[in-house]
Amino acid sequence: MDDKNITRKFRHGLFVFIALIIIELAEYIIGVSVSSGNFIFMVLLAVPGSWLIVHYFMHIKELWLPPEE
Amino acid sequence: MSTHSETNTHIGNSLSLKRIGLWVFILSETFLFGALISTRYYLQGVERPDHLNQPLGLVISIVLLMSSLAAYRGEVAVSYNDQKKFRINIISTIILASIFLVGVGWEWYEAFQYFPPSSAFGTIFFTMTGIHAFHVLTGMIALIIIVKMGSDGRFNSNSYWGVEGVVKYWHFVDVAWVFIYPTLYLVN
Repeated sequence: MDDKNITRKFRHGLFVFIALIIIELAEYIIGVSVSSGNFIFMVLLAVPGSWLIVHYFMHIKELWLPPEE
Repeated sequence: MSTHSETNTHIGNSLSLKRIGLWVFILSETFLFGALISTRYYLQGVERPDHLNQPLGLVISIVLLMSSLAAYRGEVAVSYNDQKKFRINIISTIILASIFLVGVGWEWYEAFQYFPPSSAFGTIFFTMTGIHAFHVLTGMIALIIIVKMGSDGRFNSNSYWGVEGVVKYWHFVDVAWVFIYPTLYLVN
């Protein structure tokens, strides 16, 4: 049962990682191809990227969940 | 029975307080990196020098993201008492962090030739990457400590705050880089 749970959570982490890689690649492509005025695109990509890490890897929601018993 | 329940509640509250403390620390670090990022725009606007090694920046960004995934897996493993996977993943995180630092060193070597620290962009570049690399280094030391503590059997599925705290800090270092990378290498 534990093995299944670990595998499920590992897969979950992998999906988040893939999403982060896609965001990084999109940032890179826009950064090198849009020669001017790409600032807004960078913000629009960096914010969801950081949110993915804060939400799924850092588990920020634990802060407002009741204490574990 | 009620004493057992009270003890569990106390442990739960204690863990919540530790988490709040760590998040307050992370928030204070956010102000530091926020100030550095705003300095970049204040001193340099959105101008970008021509000789930045953007592909290398992308590679080290992906390496750092891989290290975050490994750290996440290490934390999951210890939460299920899988000591072997915990050690493998945290050691992988340390190795990836070392590769990241080598990449930053390479960047510095190139940067010294094109925008020395005396130039405006050089000041920003070396300060931001230097402070971030210092955080990576301190995170690596903390990761080495938790691997050693894990080897001594100090963590299990009921008690792994040390791992959780260090891994959260590691993810924060990654979050900071998610903003530093486009700010230094891509914005134009």
